[in-house]
Amino acid sequence: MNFSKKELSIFIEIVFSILFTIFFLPYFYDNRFETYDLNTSVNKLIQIIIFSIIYFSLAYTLLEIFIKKKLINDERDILIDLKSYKMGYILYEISLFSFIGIIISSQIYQKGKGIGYSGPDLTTNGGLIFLIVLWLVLVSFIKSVYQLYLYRTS
Amino acid sequence: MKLKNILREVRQKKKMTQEELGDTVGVSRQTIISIETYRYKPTLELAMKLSMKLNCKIDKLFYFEKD
Repeated sequence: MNFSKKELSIFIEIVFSILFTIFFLPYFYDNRFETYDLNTSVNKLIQIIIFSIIYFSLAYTLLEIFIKKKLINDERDILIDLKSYKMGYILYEISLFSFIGIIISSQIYQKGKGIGYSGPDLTTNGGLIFLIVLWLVLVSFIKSVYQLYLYRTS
Repeated sequence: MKLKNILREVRQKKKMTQEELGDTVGVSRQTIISIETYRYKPTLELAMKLSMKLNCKIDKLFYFEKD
């Protein structure tokens, strides 16, 4: 299978989402019932930033070494980018409404008046942070996969 | 009606590779492949550039075919 430079750069983003899910998401999942204090959050944030910088620098350097041809951004690239960003935007919008729904249903459940809710505990910031991080990774992954799909099929 | 083209035939007659043609009109090789395989419809600007570079009339290079 022959991949272009642009397709490989999308592939780098997909791999990052997978690595993030493997290395960092379990931390947020384990702490979904906890209240984060500033020190632990800052440490984790620094770890994520350092990991991202090292990963992207390494990945793009290797890409530049192996594929020397300059990346051309033509009208087809712009069209594909627009389509995938539209998909990302729709997903973010759905996420936002789902998020509001989860917060409301969690509040109703806590007051003992509504239907059962078995999601993260949203009375602590751990639950909220876990949901936000999970959605961001998921949306970013779907957007990149869709972008790669468009590059291979259109 | 389907938009078809004779881009591959004309390009091959001119002994140009997809990459060479792409470079002369400022698009990637993948875009030329997509146009040749009818997966991507070029804008009027790109169609005119291709027509000029290949020295072939635009209505000959791109045409409609009835279903």
